[in-house]
Parts: sequence; C-alpha cells; structure tokens
Amino acid sequence: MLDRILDEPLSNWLKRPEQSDTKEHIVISSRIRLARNFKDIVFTNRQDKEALAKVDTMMRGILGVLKKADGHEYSSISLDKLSDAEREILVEKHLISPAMAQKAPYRALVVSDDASVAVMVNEEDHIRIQAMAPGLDLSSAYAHAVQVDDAIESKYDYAFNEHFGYLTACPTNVGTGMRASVMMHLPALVMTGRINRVVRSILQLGYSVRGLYGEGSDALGHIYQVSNQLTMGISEEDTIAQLEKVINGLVAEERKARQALHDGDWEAFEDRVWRAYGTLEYARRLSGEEALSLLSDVQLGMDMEILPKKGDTFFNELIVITRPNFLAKYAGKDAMTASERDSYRAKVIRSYIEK
Amino acid sequence: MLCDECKKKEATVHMTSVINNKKTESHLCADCAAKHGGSGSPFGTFGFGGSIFDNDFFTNDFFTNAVYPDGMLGRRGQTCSGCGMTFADFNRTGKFGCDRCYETFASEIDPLVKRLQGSLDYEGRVPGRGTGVFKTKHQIKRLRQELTKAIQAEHFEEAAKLRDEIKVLEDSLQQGEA
Repeated sequence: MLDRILDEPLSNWLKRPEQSDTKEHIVISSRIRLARNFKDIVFTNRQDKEALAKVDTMMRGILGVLKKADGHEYSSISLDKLSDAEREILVEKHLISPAMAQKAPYRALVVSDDASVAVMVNEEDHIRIQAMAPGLDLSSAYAHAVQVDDAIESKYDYAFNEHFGYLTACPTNVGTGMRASVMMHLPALVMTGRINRVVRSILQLGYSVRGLYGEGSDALGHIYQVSNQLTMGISEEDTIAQLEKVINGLVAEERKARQALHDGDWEAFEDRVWRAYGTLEYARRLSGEEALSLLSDVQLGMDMEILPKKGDTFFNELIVITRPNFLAKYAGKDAMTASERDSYRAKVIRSYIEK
Repeated sequence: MLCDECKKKEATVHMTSVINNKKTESHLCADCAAKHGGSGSPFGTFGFGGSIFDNDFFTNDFFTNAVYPDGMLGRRGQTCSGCGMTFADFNRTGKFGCDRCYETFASEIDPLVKRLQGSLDYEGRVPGRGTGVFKTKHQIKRLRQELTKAIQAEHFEEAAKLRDEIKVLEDSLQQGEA
C-alpha cells in the first residue's frame, strides 16, 4: 500500500468522478481535518516518549476497527522507516504536514487504501483525521471523517470538555477542532486582476485564503486554498454550509472573470494559452515553477475550449508529478540534479501532451 | 495586492485575526511571512505544498503580540498537574501541554479563546461516551434550531416531528434528573 501511495500521482479518491457535471476545473478538491487528543495523555509538544509511543500503539491497534467503520483497508506507516525523499513525497501529496516530515520518531500516518482518509499520528495533536473528496464536496468528506472519528472514539476517550469542546494543543483549534478547506484553481481572477478584491472580501467574512504554492511573487499555478478559521461558536455543519456558500461565490466570480477574458482581447488570450501549450509541447527543460504556471494557463485554455482536451486528471496529476521529490521517484531515481529534474519534468509533460 | 510589509512583492499569505471583536487583516509575501516564523511555522515553511497545515500559530512574536496585546503576557500562576506546564510556558510556546491545562488555566483561557474565536459557546459534536446528559442537552439545542428553521420554511410536518423528538428528549432528561 505504501508503494502505491508513493508511486501513484493521484490517490484513488481524486480519480473518482466529481459529483458536479461542470466541465471547468475550478474546484479541485475538498478536505476536512479534525484535531483530536486522547484523555489523560500529555500532548505531543511535551516530547514525552512514553506518551508518543502510547498514542502510536493505540492507533496501530485500531486499524481493524477503522475497516469495520468504512470498509477500507487501513495501514499504519511509521515515518521514521521512510527515507527523507519518501517523507517529502507524502508532503507533496498533502498527506502529511511539512513539520511532520521533519520530526520522525513515533510519528505515523494511518491511511486508507484509497488515501481518502489519512490520519496524522503525533503531529501537533495526538491525531489529525483528514478526509478528502474530489470537487466541492465537503459534506461527504465530513461524513467520512465522522465515521473514522466515531470509530476511534468507540475505543478510546477523547480529551473533551463541555465548555471548550474538543481540547487541542493550540487554542486556535479548540472547539470543533475542524478545519474545512477547499482547493481551487482561479487563473482568470488573477489574470483580470480581480483576485485581490475577492481575497479581501473573503478574509472579511472570516476565512483564510492562501496560495498553495506560495513561493515567489505570485500564487504559482493560481491554486488557492480557502478554509474556515473559527472552531468555536459554530457547529461543523454550519461551518461547512457557510464555507460552501463562499466557495460557490468564488466559483461564480471566477466564471465572471473568464467571461471577461472572453469579452476582452480574445486573440491576446488565445495567444497566451497556445504559447503555454507550445512550450509544454516542445520544451526540453522546465523548472517546477515554470511548469506550474504554464500548466495553469493550459488548463484554463482547455476549460475555455481553446485547447484540445487532455482528460480530466491532466492538471491534477501533473501538478503532483512535477514536484521535485515525486518526480525523482517517478523517474525511479534516489536523487537527481536540478538540471536532470528539469529535463525529466519536460519529458514527462511532453508525454502527457502527446497522449 | 502588495505585501503589507515590504510593499514590493505580491502578498500570498493572508490572515485575519479577531481581537476584541475587531478584525485585523495581514497580507504578506512569502519572504516577509517567512521572516515572521521559525522553521515550524506556516509562515516559515511556506514552500511548495506547505500551506495546508496550520500549525504553530503562536511560535513567533508577530502572532503572540497580536493575540495578547496587553498585560496578559506577564502573568504567572499555578503549574498544571497533568503536564507540569505554567501559563508562562504556554505564552512562550503557544501550545498547551495536556487536556488538564484547560481546567488549570480556565480563567486565563476564557478571555484568550474569546479574543481568538469571538465566542465561548461551544457548538458542535459531542463524544458518545461519558457525557450523556450534556449530549442530550446539546441535541435538544440543535433540534430547536432545526425546528425554528422548519417553521420559517413552513415545513410544518417536519416541524411537528421535531417538536415530538424534542419532547421525548426533554422527558428523558427530567427522568434522569429526578
């Protein structure tokens, strides 16, 4: 199972057909994270070996219970048994946090066979249950997270108090311990210069917006992550319902911006996406950053029916494959120099374009 | 929009903090955000793929100052019997050491959570075990909210059902208390 998770660019859950019948790829995926700690065990940040080992053992002992709960096979992966590169791949696939990749002993990932549920063990909280779904589907991700949550709670007592709710290491998570987030591709809002205004209004509503690949001057690949910030005073269902409203509003804004591109200098826009396509088709070396921004242009060009379609998973797969550690694994190598990587990246993208 | 701090680069890290019901926004570019955080902070490791996990909000002065603007930082007090932490330790790390900290430091945590989250009324799931009465009370509270919604939407059949459910739960509570 570990090999499959490390080798396949897209976890099975991301290949599932989306619920919506829209042809554009604006919403990429939805994620629910529940932060939980166990009663009477000191939190992870105390670095108490006994406590860390106990939580690790507890979670290993629960794999069968999880299977009964949702029918998936679960396995527990000890992070200290992985190489640095393998841990980085789990980060690139958003299954573990970057912080978790650095501190390996007693840390583990309990993951379902299709990787739609990934529980980080001994991260900032004892466990962080993450459930994912393709497209905008926070409700099914939440329902899945609850199945897992209930299954764990049927065996072990959680740290919970009637006043504060679920008790977490950090008070920004106390209460529901839930972070609902949606990954979105918003290229037209960026191209039309509307993104700032939109981000500002979303912040004012109390949600956070981040560029997923934030290095450099721009949110690379125009991929953003929108999530709730509050975990107190609002139920899980209401948080999800409100966030979905925000996301639907954002989708509408992105569509308007696409229409504006349509109504604007159409040839200039066509020129941009065809140039991106041409570069991906013929380039011999591509850096990770260049690949992301060109892939974003090409996906938009496909959404707007300028460029030939390359299948539903083209963009989602390539944004994972072109990450440095995944790329090396994909090439079957332990390590690659920067120029080897750029060259191999260009080669893989060419093969996807030719498909 | 440009970074609040260097005013040069595009801001890609956007955060809102609620302090005394007043919202403060910060918009930073990746470089300035990294300056505000150590390696474990979301602002520090804001590299590729580093943005999904929102840890370590308080491990830098930027946030500590935003969250505890006045006086709260100097406070010293008891030691938590569960993990040996003091509130000063919490102020330094931004993390509690165990579930008992929430009882030990309840009087300090109340205003803190109120500042951070704008509310102290927990709404949400309740574990199935050990808190039967609380769970029932909570369920009644939720059903009442649904009842209001149903009435507003003029779904009277559903409202009648909800009313009956509430009645059953309330009766079970009263019997439990008697």
